[in-house]
Amino acid sequence: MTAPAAAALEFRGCGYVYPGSDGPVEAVRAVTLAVAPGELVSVIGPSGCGKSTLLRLAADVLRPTSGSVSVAGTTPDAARRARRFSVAFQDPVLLPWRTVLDNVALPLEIAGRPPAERRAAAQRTIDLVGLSGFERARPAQLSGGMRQRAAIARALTLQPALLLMDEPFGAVDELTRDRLNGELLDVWQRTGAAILFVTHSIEEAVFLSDRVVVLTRRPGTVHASIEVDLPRPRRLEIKRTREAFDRSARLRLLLDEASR
Amino acid sequence: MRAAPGVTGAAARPAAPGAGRRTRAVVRQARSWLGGALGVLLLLGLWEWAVRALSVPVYLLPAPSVIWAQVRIDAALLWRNLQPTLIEAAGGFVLGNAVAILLAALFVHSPAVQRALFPLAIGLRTVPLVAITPLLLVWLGGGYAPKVVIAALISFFPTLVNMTRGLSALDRQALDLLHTLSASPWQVFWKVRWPSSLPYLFSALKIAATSCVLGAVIAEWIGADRGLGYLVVASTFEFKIARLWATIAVTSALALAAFLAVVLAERVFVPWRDAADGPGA
Repeated sequence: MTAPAAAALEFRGCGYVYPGSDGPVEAVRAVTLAVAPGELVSVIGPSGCGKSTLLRLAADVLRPTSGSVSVAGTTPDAARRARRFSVAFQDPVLLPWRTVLDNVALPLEIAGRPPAERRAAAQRTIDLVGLSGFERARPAQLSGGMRQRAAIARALTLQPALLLMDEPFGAVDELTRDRLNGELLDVWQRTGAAILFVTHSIEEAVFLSDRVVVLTRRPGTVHASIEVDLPRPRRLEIKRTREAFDRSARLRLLLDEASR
Repeated sequence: MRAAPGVTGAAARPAAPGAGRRTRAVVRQARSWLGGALGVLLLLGLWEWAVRALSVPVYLLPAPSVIWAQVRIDAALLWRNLQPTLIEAAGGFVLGNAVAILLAALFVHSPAVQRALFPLAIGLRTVPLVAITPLLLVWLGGGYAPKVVIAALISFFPTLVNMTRGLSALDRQALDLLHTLSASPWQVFWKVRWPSSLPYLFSALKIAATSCVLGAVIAEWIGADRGLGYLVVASTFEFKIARLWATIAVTSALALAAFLAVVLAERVFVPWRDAADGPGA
């Protein structure tokens, strides 16, 4: 855990209490966790442990009720306005009336960039995620995996220093997920962005991450933080190796402890 | 580029079903229209046959052929009276829907305004139009104004309800996305809320298209010296039953034309609806 001065993302003693309808619910408690620039960190934990809450705190969708969050050395609010990070949600959230190109260009359009720049930048990230040839397609004409690629392309158009991903491959089939995992690593290596990746798949976390953080059940606290020292660049075949299996087994054990 | 072969493999697949779906949709559409036309023709044939076979007198029920002949005889008269009705219906359609859309936009941005005004809108809906029309004639005079207002009142409510729903039909994640993109309220409205409400709006406009004709005719029926509603009253008083039926036929045709115009406009302005399974899909 060697976080340099300006971590891409840092939680310091961060807690969040939901004002639930049956009284307040403590989702996360005293979470301290840093993601270095260019680092890929996964968060796993039992369902309802506050993984997504953590991500929403980083994305300035929620404000911590205790402790603090900083993104690139500033508050999530300031980082959001400076367009320093992007979010990929569980659903692709594409606008059905827009073509792939116009969906991917949406962040730049909202940022008020000129049309030529928008088109060029959107085209670049569309090529990056392998959706070339589908610029004019509407979301309804795409498969689930392709929609998720478009959502990732959209998240990359602003060239963010930090990418927040909330189980983005949770709804696609296993084979597509494997392929998307491989592609995500390619993209990550080429963009150099730091990634906070929320998932409930141990294998996915092991394959992708530099480090995996295990949260306990609610209220979520950091139970363990494990370095994944598999060599890079990683190819999909690494998922079937003894080394990957050992790390998965160890994480499964930790997750089991955390769920108790 | 390890991704490339997988990507091209995935590329071929979704495009084909997309095209196939569109062709199937067109065939289904053509079939349903053909079915509708056949149904109407069958009904008219049965009507024609029954009236002739049972020698039903014209004052009870004229045969479709007699009504059609009357439409051709009275073509000039019907055309003269169609114009004011068309103007009133169109005016009411535009006025009622414009107010409804503006109010819905206001509701979505201010729950307080919605709480204050929605009961009022419902109250307006419960007022019997037949009772309020004479009052409007007294207040607004005998010109187009009271008829336009009645047509507007009748098209207002469905649009208000649908549009309020349409403008709020954004899911949590879409709103979160826009928030993380630092979109202004203005951008949220024009880039997302407005387009995503269009399928809802057009559902309401289809109702409004036919009911605004109805509203104009009711208003004319109660107090006017021209228009299709007036012609209904005049034909009845003069006991010109065939002309009455011809007027009814023309009124229906006008409402149907208005409906089809909205369907056509929906094709143009909501093209993604064909591809998706409905609002929000």
